[in-house]
Amino acid sequence: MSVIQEITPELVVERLRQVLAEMLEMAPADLDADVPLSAFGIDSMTSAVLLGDLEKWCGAELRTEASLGALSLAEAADAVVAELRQRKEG
Amino acid sequence: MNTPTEATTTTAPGPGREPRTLVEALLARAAGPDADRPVVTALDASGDTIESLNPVELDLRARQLAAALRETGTAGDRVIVPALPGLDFHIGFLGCLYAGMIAVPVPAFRTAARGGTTTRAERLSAICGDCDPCAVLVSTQEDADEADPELLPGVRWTAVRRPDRPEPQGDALPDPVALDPATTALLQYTSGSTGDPRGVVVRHGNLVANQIAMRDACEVEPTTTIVSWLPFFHDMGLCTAVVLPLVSGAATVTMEPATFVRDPRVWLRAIAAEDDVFTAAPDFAYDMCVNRVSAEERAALDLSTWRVAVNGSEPVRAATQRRFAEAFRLSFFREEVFSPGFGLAECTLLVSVSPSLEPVVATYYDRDALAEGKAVPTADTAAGVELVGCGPVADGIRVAVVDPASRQALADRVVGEIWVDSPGNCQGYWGREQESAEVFAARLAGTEDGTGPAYVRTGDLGFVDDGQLFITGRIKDVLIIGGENYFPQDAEAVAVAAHPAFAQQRAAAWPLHEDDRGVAVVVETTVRDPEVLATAVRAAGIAVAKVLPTAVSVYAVPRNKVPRTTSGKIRRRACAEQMRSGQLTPLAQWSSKRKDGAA
Repeated sequence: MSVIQEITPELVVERLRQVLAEMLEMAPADLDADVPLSAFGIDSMTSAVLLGDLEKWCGAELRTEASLGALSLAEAADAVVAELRQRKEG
Repeated sequence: MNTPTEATTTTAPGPGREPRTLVEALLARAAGPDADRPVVTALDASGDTIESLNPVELDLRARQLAAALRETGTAGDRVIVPALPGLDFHIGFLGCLYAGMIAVPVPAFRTAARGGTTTRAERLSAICGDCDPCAVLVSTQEDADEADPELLPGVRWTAVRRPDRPEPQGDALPDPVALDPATTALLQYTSGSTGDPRGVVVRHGNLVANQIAMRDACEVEPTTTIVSWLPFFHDMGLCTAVVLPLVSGAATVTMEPATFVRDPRVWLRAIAAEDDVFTAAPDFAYDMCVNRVSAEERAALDLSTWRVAVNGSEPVRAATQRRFAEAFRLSFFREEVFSPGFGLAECTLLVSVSPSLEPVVATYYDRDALAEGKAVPTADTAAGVELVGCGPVADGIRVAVVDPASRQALADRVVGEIWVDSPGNCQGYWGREQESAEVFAARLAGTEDGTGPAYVRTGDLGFVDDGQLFITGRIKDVLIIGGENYFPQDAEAVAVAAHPAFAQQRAAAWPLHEDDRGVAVVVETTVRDPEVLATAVRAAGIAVAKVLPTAVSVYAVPRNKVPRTTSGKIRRRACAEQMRSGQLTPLAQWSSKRKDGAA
């Protein structure tokens, strides 16, 4: 699918940054890409919301992990891209 | 407050009495005058109806699934119930109960076979390792056929939808245990660390008693519609979107969490479409609505039918509610629709909630007095902390505010740990007797012999003022994050190890109070170079955030500034107080959440 090919880690980081900033009422620039998302206030509930958003946006199903909060923006983006690539191959 | 037996004689299942279990409630509804009225409706991402079931249809589907489950296991066996789309979760959950089995709600996950997987499967495996399920539910037989057997070895994949199955013989189902309030209905796994899931043992009687209390406090009636986007595996989602409608006679309209986050207007429009609406959501959801819905769109919405908006599961902020009420006044929303509440999975859900259409109680308390454990209202907002009352304790529930050291109950307006005695109090954590006894069977001083009630220890600090329960923070020296206990020593150790500027130094960590959930860590250093310190506090912050799933602030202070006892033990409370009062000035600091970020 062409959509999947266009998804880069940078795009995912920006998408997540934008959704997080809205949800948490923070300036996007204050969201350090190396900090675990839990430190911004992402708990099991907000994590479910974020994962749902990601899935709708790019089809990546990072859904079983209760704590997306354990990942940083950069790590979450890598996981999304890896998931999409794996799906494409598998 | 209404007396359940009197107020619900015309509506409650059975002649003039409350249902004792959820299954009994559904049976009564399927046999009653409301049998052909939809009880659950699922909406898609644009708000259109996917499917709607009346009590008779829901009962039939639950029976069909229960009959299939009985081919795999017997009463008391555990069944994994993922947050399946549409109405499949409702059918799956009730099917387990009809079979007399124990439902284990979990987030949805990818089941199809494929190579490799991530840590996401780890939590599911950990839950399976903890509760040893006989089956895991998927939507269709096709999903079951395609499921990866390696994912959960030894567990049978069972389809919720059984279109080919004839109507099962009625005499064997529901299983008798489904009608016994003392038996286990589900395991509610609390969020937290991946490797160590703990399942709260929730009995049939807990579910019904707890949500009857919600029904009565919020006056949820057969004419009420519950509109929910909450995840079903979450205690608030399960209780308000699955249990509450069945014990109250109300109907539910559900949508996926992703629908709400993508476009909160879908939720708001679904609310506007009904006549008398109950909702429950965490604080951030109301902020999202304000941020994402334009004034023009707000003006086009009529939310005058929205009667109860429970605000819970996260700390409730007065500013959020005011901002929402102001923004949506255009849509005829009134602030008294907000019903702030307090609850936890260990008590099924609800402990306290502001009753339907009561004005919100928000009071400023003197900051310094609060730090000393006294709640003193103040008119000086600059010296005060604004706290929202989480309502009175619900009917049938008692709360003691307790000094955790002496186990003595404290007076009103004195801060202590909140202990709960409730018919919703669960049995314990699955397979963890010792921990369960500590958390679920706490007794006040002088009643250790069992003469007094057994309380659930919440780990939350708060006080009671004028009948309202206020939450102020977490119990000292244990950081409780997402229901899990963390120890300050762990945060201190990783902070010190994160950068050479902190090597071999002392640190103190403590939970942040008031609105700022999170942890603060002070680390001593001999370094004075601002650039090095800036790098060091950020490195320490990230390191701490990796071990504690919460907001983190790190402060570097000069050597020997962290207060200690004469024996050299770190005085975390004193350190927190010195930092707050400005007595201890940091050389450098770093925070994951900027304080000025909030509106």
